[in-house]
Amino acid sequence: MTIGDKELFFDVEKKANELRIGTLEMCIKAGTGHVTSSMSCAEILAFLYHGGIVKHDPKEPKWDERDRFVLSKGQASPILYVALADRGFFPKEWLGYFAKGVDGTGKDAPFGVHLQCDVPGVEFTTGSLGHGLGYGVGIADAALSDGKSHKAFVLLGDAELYEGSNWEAAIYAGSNNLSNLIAIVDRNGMGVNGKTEMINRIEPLDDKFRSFGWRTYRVNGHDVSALYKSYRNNEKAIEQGFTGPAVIIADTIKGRGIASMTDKLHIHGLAPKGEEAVLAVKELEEFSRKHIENGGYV
Amino acid sequence: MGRENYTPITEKTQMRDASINRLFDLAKEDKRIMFVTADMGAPAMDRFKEQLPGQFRDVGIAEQATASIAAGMAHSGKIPFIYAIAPFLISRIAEHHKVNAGIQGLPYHSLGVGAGFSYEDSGPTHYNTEDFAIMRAVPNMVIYSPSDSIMAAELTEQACYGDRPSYLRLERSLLPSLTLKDEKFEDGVRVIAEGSDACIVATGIMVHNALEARSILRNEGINAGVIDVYRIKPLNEFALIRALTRYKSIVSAEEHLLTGGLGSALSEVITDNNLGKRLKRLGIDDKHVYLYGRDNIQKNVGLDSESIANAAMEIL
Repeated sequence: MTIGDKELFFDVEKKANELRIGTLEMCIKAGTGHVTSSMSCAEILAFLYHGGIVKHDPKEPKWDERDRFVLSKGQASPILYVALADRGFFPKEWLGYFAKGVDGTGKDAPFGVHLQCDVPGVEFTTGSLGHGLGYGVGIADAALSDGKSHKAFVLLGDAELYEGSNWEAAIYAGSNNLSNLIAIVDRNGMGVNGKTEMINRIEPLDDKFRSFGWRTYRVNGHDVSALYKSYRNNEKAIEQGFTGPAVIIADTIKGRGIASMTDKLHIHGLAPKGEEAVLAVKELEEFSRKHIENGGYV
Repeated sequence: MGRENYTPITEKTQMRDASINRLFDLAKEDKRIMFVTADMGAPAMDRFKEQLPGQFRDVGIAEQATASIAAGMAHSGKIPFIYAIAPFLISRIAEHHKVNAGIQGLPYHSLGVGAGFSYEDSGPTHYNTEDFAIMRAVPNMVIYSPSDSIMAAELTEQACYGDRPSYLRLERSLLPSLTLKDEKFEDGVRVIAEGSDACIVATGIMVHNALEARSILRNEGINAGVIDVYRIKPLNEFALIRALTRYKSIVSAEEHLLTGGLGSALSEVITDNNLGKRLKRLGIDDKHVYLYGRDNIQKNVGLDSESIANAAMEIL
């Protein structure tokens, strides 16, 4: 940790909570959206987009030198839309079109419940799981073959890892020195029907990736300092000549920040309504306030 | 590179080699072209791999990742061609084509070897008789079904510089050339033989069977035309309707299920445009085929030249 890091981590965490609140409000207004899947990756997205990790230019979304971010768990679209609006890729008012298909004038507004690539700043349409890692591999491979320096970041869901296509892509990435590929697993531990380890074991996840030729880091995904530490360690490893892709397995909590929606079954894909919505907002505001009072990660 | 410098195509050049050789010729000067195989080989591929290693990738027997990686490359401005035995490249990973090509329009190209019953000695897992139906249901997708090796090479180049994702259905056996000198393949439909009494509309290897059927019919005093539909999607309805104007009776022939293939597309054209023509569709009934040997299979499913001729006589 260097001087200034503490402020940086605090700011990024604060931003994560702002993204949480924006996401919850947007989903309540729309009456839909995967709220809990978004809450678990709030720090990860804030770290990537607001913490200076993913190189981007909101004024030029297709800037050739940008890093490519692939949200493979496309159900977390709400929080990515909110993050991109916050970065200035499009006006925040557009978030009001979420899950509507059209804007106020009846024109197409592609803010799907699952992620749509027509939104400025979004690279790929996802929602069907098991595609994103392959996309990231193709991007990383193309960049290396063209001598370009941009990176591919892929955010995966943990239950998404049941899809075999991920492991097909992982074999290729591990064998082809794709050191410009960084995957992050939002390890919130939940599938739709329960805990992943009760459905079918996917642990030990780090060993699995390691055996495929990946460098692995395992961190608390809500602790921004830990995310930075793993990322910086990976940069150092690359400087020291390590090749190959890296994965950060970020242990998270589904629904993080909204006490009444934390780690709960049967609310995957749902936005709270009525009194539940009022309570959810209150809980999230309280969570955010505590974070500020505490001066950092709670 | 001038066309005269392209790798020559002889009567012994298989479609896959003609196609890969054309890609090689183009890729030498166009670094965007990537050849991505799923552990499938070919003599022409060996040269590509040896001389252009930076543009060659082997993902292994992993067709899903092959398609996703190619989509990622296309997103980055590459022109990737993915290569495998056709059923594993199409039906096995249909949803990848839906998401990559149908929803996002990412321009990658599928080189599928093994049109219809090409793998005549390999059985139903390797028979490729549902691919048209699947890929016709993918928006943005262009489907090519060449009937000779020169055409396969030209369509490969067309796919490469088209701005849409595509699928090339490549025949495995050697087919004699039907292509005229300097012939262009812009229409998607070509008249191979003019007729007056009936017309056989075919694709791929079936165009050759149709020509044999035409000879049989001539001996019976029937003058049948033959039309080669080498681009299944988008179907050139205008050219097809024009070519069919003179005929009342039509037979379609394809090594594909009767569901969703060329015959289905043709019946849609006839119905949608109120053409009022008689159409007999020849293809595979709603089942998988457990026979071996191309001639044997074609005879049993009613796609040999005699069966085609008989069908034409029946609907006259």
